[in-house]
Amino acid sequence: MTAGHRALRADATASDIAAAVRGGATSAAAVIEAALGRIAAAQPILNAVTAVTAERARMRAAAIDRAVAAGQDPGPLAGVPFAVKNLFDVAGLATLAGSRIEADSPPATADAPLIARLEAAGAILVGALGMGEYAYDFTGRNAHYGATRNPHDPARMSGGSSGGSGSAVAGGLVPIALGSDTNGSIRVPASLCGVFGLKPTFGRLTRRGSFPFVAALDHLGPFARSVADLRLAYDAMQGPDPADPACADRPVEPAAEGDIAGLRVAVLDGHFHEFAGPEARAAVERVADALGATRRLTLPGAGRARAAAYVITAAEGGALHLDRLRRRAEDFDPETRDRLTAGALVPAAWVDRAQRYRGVFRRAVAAAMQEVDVLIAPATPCTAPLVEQQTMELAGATVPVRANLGVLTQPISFIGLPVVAAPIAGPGLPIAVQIIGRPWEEATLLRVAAALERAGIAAAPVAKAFSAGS
Amino acid sequence: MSAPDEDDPILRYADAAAALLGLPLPEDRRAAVIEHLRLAHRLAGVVGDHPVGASDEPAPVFRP
Repeated sequence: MTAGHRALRADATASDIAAAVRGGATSAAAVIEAALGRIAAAQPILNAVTAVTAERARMRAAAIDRAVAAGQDPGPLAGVPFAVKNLFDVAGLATLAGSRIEADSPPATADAPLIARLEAAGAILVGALGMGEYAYDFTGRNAHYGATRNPHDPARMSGGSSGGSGSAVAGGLVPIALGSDTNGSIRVPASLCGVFGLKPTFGRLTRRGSFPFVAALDHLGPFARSVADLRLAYDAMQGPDPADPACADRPVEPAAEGDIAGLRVAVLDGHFHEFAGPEARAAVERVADALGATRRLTLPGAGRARAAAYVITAAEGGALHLDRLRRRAEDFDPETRDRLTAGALVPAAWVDRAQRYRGVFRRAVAAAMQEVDVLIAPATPCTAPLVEQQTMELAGATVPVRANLGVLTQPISFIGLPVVAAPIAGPGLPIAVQIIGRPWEEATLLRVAAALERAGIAAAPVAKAFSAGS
Repeated sequence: MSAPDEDDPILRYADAAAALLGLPLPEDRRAAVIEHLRLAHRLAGVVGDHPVGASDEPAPVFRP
């Protein structure tokens, strides 16, 4: 099979596509038509996409092809189709954030900077992706637009709130998607859909041009089916943004490849073991064995950190949507509305205490990470539940699915640490582990994920039902 | 389902706070909202059990 043919397949990586387009083995136009065809074919099953930007994508592909013909290099992501969670501003589209209410908003007048940065590297936006309403969700359910579904078993959840992002990448619709992660909304769908996801350090990537949820906790980041693709997307999106007060004034720090010799790796126990089911524990053990990680580490207060994240999320989310809750309560997804309403009632004293605990927990984890470089923990307690499932068994109790799929991700995003969610290869439904590092050390985590990928421990194949033509 | 105890402080608090904020809290949604608020209350208690000191800032220090 030629590189040109390979670039048109559902399982083509961004690296495959960019190499073929830059080398003239295929055209960006052909790549985009193939992606648009896959999106159309999968939509009735996965419901991952809420808008297709076909005209714009074709124009952009033609420009890329003209550049190649003229001997210019369109960039490291030349011709690579990507899609974004529909809380990103896309010029000409209303920024839905999974809601019905925002459908009445005027269209965005400009793309979010992360879209612009990916396109500056040669990538091509092909659509916007479904999500849980206002990102207050771990399931992928949405009363307005329907649930995004899991390509490995469409009867099961994609996870959320970036459900369309996980589904689109796992279904081979696009090799790269963008999502957001406030409490786990990249890592949970990455785990349930079996793809790689990166939640960078808080402040690493600009959030400008995205619909907010919890200013204290919101992060944006990429999904991909290979670590190399995750790295390509991440590197293209880095850089300061003076117009975003939350974006750190750091230069682009390319995530260099390299080995992991000498890295000190520990497995998180305590909260992260207690709330992990058998599949999650098995995934962590496979990773620990592969990395030679024998050390176990307890983060004191992880459960309390999760509780604090919950309180802050409820209160900030409720405050953000207070006016909408007053004016248009009936237009919310009921599953979101009642949580946001409760959040709006949360007293300031609870929030203040939760915010102050952030510093306490951050210092405790920083002290623990003086002795280790990387922490390993499950990303979700279990594999994907059924789409309509309301409860699950967790640590001997029956608990709501919606609030608890993120029980293992919340303590980490609470203090803004970078995390790569790496799907662990296996015969059953996917599940991922979190590879957690110190602030600003995303490159280390990508090296660990790449080592696991090379060893065959981590893998993100296109779901079998969607790999026809692969 | 048994009728809620209207003397329960969280019910009285929720009704009063919702009214103050101008938030609709119709009867068919009230129980669900209260349930979520109870969970937040329980989790706030988990956080509140941990002592914090004067140097534990609620947010990054503002610098003009």
